[in-house]
Amino acid sequence: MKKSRFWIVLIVLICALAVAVPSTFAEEKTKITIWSMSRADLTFVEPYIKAYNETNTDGIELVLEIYTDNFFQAIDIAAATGGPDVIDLPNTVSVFSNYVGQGYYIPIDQYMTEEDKELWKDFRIEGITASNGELYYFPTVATTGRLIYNQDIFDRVGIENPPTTLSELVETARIITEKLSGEGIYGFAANFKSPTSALLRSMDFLMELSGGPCQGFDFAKGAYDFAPYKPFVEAYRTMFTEGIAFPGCESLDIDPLRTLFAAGKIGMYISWSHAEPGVYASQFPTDINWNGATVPIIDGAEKASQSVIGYHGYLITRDCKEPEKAWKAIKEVFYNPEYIQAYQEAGLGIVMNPEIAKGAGIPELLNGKEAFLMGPTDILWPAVPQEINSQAVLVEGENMYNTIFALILGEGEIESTLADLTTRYNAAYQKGIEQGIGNPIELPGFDPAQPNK
Amino acid sequence: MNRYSKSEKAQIFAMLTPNLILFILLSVYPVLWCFRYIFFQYGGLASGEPIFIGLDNFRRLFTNDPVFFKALKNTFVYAAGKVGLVIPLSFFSAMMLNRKNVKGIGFLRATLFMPTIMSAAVMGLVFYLLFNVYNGEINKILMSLGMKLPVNWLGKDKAMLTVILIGIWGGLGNYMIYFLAGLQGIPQELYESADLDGVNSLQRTWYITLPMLGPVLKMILMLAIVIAFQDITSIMVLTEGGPVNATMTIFLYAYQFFFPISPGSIVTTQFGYGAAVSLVSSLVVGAVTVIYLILSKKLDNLE
Repeated sequence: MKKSRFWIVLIVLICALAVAVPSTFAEEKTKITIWSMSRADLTFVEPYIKAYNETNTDGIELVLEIYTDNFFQAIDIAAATGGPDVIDLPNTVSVFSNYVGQGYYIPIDQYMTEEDKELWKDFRIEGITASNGELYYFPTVATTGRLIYNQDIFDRVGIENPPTTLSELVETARIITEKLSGEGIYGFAANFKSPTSALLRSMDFLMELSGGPCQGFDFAKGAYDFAPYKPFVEAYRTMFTEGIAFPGCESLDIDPLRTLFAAGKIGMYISWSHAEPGVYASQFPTDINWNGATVPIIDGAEKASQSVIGYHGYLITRDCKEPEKAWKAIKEVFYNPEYIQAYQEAGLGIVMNPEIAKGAGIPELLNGKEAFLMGPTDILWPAVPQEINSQAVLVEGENMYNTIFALILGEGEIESTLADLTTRYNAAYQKGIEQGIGNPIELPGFDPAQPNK
Repeated sequence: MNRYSKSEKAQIFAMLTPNLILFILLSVYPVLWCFRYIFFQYGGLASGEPIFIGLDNFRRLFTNDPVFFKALKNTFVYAAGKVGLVIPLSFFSAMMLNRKNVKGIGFLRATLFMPTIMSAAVMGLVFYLLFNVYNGEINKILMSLGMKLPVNWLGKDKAMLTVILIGIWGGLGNYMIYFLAGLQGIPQELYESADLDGVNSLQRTWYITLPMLGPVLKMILMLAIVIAFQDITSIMVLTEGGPVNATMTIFLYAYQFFFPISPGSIVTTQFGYGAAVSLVSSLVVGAVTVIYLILSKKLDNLE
């Protein structure tokens, strides 16, 4: 009995050693965890990560974790209590600007080679990708605003080209509505259920391309000035109070708007360049002949440039124990020009860096829709004070988007309301500076045509 | 003389304790956590340390925030509209359905009660589709009946009416059940002796049913008022408080300072100011409730 017990114990010990010894001597891999909210990209990204994990000789294992609706909350908690090694920046710059001041991210200048610096030289924008002169990431793809139009409707009413100025926009919309509203087709629409969402994707770009200001902020003056918004408000007021725009836009969300556009009921609207081609290819497939164009500008203005929102930049956090290895991995996989080009070719985003874009093929869904690619007037603009720190510009009363929306619906006198908006924004901006949480921004000689110079 | 023995007291405390613990953890603590920021400017974890600003949040609220006062007015309009219609409607529904041995009565009761168990967010979304200006079913029906132009149900002029109608639809079944319970508690002998006296049905309702429902009515009204003041979910889904704040109510206004309603409608997170708005809003509801309780004392009198 005793003898058999001895043998059982011995066999168990040998088995345990057989399992434990190889794993003890095997090299431990450094896990680099990345948080992303791009579930839609998962099928594309996974093979790249798998290949890298299998082939890299630096002992690195990339682990991609996807968050969706709770992404921003998760980042908020992670910044306070600890989180991933790397964060894949979505198209919301606040994920960078909210936390960089707290030292949550690690600057990457120290890891970049001269070649890297040359390739990304135009991407060091204070408040957007850099803070206090130090670079933290560079966005690989970008989005901006485009005028989306239905070519079939244009053909029916005899309009050859999409409008290039505000007055042309109103006139084109008026012609469409006058001729086709009997069939339920209207010239223009906007998703005003959320004025911020509607105007962020339209008015901001239109104002910038007309020479600014940017979200109400005049970089050259170093102060807010909403007076230049008057022609925009007047044009929109005409469309939305004279029955030109689609009925019920006050409560229209973006997806119902898109379904109506896909059904051929809307002549034009303004939305994101990165989203609409994919939406009409898969979410709301349509047979209509549609396209995109540069947003119109204010009559008489000289075409400057419009800001782009860059995303899929990779931020290394202070929780990363081996930031150099993290940099190596993200450079090898996500900042690799071949990966970025393939990402565009798969129709998932538009390459932002012109040098890399040169080698990128046009995805099938953008064939004939090249206006959605980044053009020479699509440039990173500096961050406005509320982008750098939203807490430093706490405006009392309604924000700019709600105020302008009310004006568009015909509520209030335009000039005095815009003047009041200027006063309230400047008061909030100055208060933030006095409290020591905001910094004065003034860029004398700022050129809206070359905002990144 | 002590009314309860030691073991009875122990039993009372044992039964109250779990409830009290949950109440303190899930209600009292979050409220105190929120209200401690009323003297601060604080935007959450990402904004760094809270900045002490004394009574500045209240200065801003009372002197420089027209949206709050618009929301306050809207809240009273919404509450008056909803309570003013839902109570009579649910009372009459209960009267109609307070019958025994009628075929299908259970089905009718269940149908009217159904909205109560539906998620307010789902309800908001369904009504958003129904009230849609262009291709909403309601406008389609109206236009098939000969109306020329679609009604802008969710536009700035009619949005409040629409959210009130949806509020009524959502609350009717609930109050109807309360009324039914109250009606079934009225002794039948009263009706029988009234019948012997030859009263008609209107007199029965006026002189017996309504007075006997007094205490129940008092409770139902109080619940309806408080709930109407706090309704935000369906409004949030349906209109997000718009257009141009036409349906903004005080608690929805306070809510958006803590949580953005949707990614596109970001209002800068302001816990401090949101806490001040919440406190004042709670005081308003508290005051209304107290006034109501004083005014409704008569309803307790069954004499």
